Amino acid sequence: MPSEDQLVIDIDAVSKTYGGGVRALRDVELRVHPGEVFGLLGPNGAGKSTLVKILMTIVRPSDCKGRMFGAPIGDKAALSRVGYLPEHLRFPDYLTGEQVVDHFGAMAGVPRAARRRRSAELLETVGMLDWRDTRVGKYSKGMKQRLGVAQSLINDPDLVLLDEPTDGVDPLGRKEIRDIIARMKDNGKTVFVNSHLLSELELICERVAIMVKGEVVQQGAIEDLTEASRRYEFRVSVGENQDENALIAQAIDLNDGSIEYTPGVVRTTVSDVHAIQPMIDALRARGVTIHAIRPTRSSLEDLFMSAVKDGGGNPGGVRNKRSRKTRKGAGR
Amino acid sequence: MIARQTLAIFLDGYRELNARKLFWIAIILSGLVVVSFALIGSRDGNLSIAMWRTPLPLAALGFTTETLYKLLFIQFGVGFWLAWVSTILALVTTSGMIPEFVAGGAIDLTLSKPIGRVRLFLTKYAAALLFVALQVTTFTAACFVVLGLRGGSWEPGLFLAIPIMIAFFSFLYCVSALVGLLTRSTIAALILALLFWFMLFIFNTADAGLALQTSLAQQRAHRAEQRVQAIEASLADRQDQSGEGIVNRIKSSVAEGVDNDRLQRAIDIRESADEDVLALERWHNRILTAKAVFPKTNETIALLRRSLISAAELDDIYGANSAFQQEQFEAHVPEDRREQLEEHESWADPEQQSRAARQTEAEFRSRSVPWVLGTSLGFEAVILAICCWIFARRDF
Ligand SMILES: Nc1ncnc2c1ncn2[C@@H]1O[C@H](COP(=O)(O)OP(=O)(O)OP(=O)(O)O)[C@@H](O)[C@H]1O
Ligand SMILES: [Mg+2]
Repeated sequence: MPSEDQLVIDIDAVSKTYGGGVRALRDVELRVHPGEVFGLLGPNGAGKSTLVKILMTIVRPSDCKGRMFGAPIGDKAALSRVGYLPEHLRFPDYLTGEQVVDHFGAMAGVPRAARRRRSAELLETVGMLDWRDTRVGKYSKGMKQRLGVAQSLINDPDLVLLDEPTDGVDPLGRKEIRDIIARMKDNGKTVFVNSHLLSELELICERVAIMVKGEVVQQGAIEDLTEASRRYEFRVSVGENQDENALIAQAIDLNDGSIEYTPGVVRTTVSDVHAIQPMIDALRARGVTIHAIRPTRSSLEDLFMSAVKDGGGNPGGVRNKRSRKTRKGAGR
Repeated sequence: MIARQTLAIFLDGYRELNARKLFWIAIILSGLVVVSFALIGSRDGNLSIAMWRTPLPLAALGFTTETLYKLLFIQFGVGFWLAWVSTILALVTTSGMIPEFVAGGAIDLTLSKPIGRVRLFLTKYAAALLFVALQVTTFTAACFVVLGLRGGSWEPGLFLAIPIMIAFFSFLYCVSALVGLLTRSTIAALILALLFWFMLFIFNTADAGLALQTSLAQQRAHRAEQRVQAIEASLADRQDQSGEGIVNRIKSSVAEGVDNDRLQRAIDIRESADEDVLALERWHNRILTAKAVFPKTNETIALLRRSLISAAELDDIYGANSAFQQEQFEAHVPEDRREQLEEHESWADPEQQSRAARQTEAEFRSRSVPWVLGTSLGFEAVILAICCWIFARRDF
């Protein structure tokens, strides 16, 4: 078990330029704490798999300052504590499911007796026990993926890296994989998931990083990240022959960057409940009727979409997000 | 940990072979070859197949049953079956192992294990030699039993065939591995390995052919020289003895004319043979230089013959063989035709041929074992070093 204060993955700066000149990663910074479920999300080609492959020593970084389990990245010994499910996984066709788990267990250095015991257990967990003596060549895509999840756990790893674990898996299987991840977390293991299935990540991850075009543009607990987008929404109306626009303009300063107004709705990006009390008073004082005040926050999907949209034109520009939006609002 | 991983890679290699039909086909064919060996024997001094006695007189040809079996094993079992047919089957089967090993999606998991890339590659390479190792081991063990039961000699030296054949195959397979690693294509790996083998075959054939021809040309020169001396002696004799009388003088001058013609021809032959020797030696040296850096496939396989058949046994076989052939030759070619044949530049009688072959074999035997294996393994080491360098630096 990693000690509580030691980061499982602690990357200061990793860059990768592939042979063809593709800059897959640029100065990526990433931290994964022990015992958490960490999600790395990003659009296709963002460099998620590249990052995981660098951690797994499959791809050699162009530049790398970082540690995994306290050892420099690229250190082979640390890998015996790690389980890995690659994307586009292909097993040798001539092996049976059980042989696959056994083979990769042996490669990870697990003693024979432990492999025996655990492989049956794991195949059971992923629902593949009945297929253990069938050659992998005859498996369906989702079955191979389930087998992949099983083999990634054969060495009872402290950290599992899953590159799109639910790729090709049916809804039931997805649920099962989520359950496996939850169980691992309960056992104090660390899970690192690569995915673009946001709804799924939202269900299982505590912390995420969003990667766009080889850069991590946002990183943190889902709570905190969406916290930034927390705001309050007022549903308002005024008396019959009163000018709503004018009344509201009198009550609150519409040029203040934090306020957005469309007829019937006032939105504020202020996230502190105390900070909106004066607004309520001001609106009430002008005789504006408040129908409802709702706290809202964006979903992971909104976060992702805006990160990708902004990152698309201007990589790393996500931090300009709010101010740009504000400017738009202020212009009205 | 290291032992566990190595074992896992070998077990995986075995399972991969086990899943291939060709592996079992090769084993079955091996069995047939052994059975056909067991059918061959000697009966009343003649070669026999199963229960039939053939007219081939083994004893007269210098074979004992033991040397017959040893030679069958070396020349046919190893020299033909293992070194040609089985090797082709092995290359076809194993050329795909490295390309499949490094294929996208398949290599990722293996690389993510706590094993260094160089060790991983070398272990996988060794596992790919398993095909040949298993084939040659089963075959040799079966032949050992046949030789013991039928030839009456339990010869543990046969098992030398195992390291020799593995080494021989690895000289070819390293090229296949390099090409497979570079191109990730089984077909390319197979074809280039076969082409490489073909190139070695050309070198070896040229080497052996030139050695034989050189030896024949030397003998031709030697014989022509002997003839020159003989004719000169008889000319001198004739001058001393030429008696009186016109008839005698005419007779002797006619004979002298004939001898002078013979002398001239013999001198011509000697000169052209000397030139041949020089030219052949020059070419032979060029081929040997070219061969120096490449694996010595022929010599490697010949190591088995070198260790199993002693020089004395060789002399027996060559001697008896050439005596037998010479007998046949003398029985069928009248004396007065022989010199005519001798003067024919490219012709050699069985005895000469046999002596040339013996001499060629002696030359090959004189190539030292460290040179044969050292340069070959050196070549393989260089190719493997390149492979490891590529494998260790590639992004998968
Ligand atoms: N072996 C390679 N050689 C050259 N370029 C590569 C290689 N692997 C990936 N790339 C490039 O690196 C970039 C990042 O690829 P990567 O596979 O890491 O993306 P990803 O985020 O995992 O995408 P996806 O969600 O589609 O799996 C892409 O532009 C891709 O073309
Ligand atoms: Mg990917």
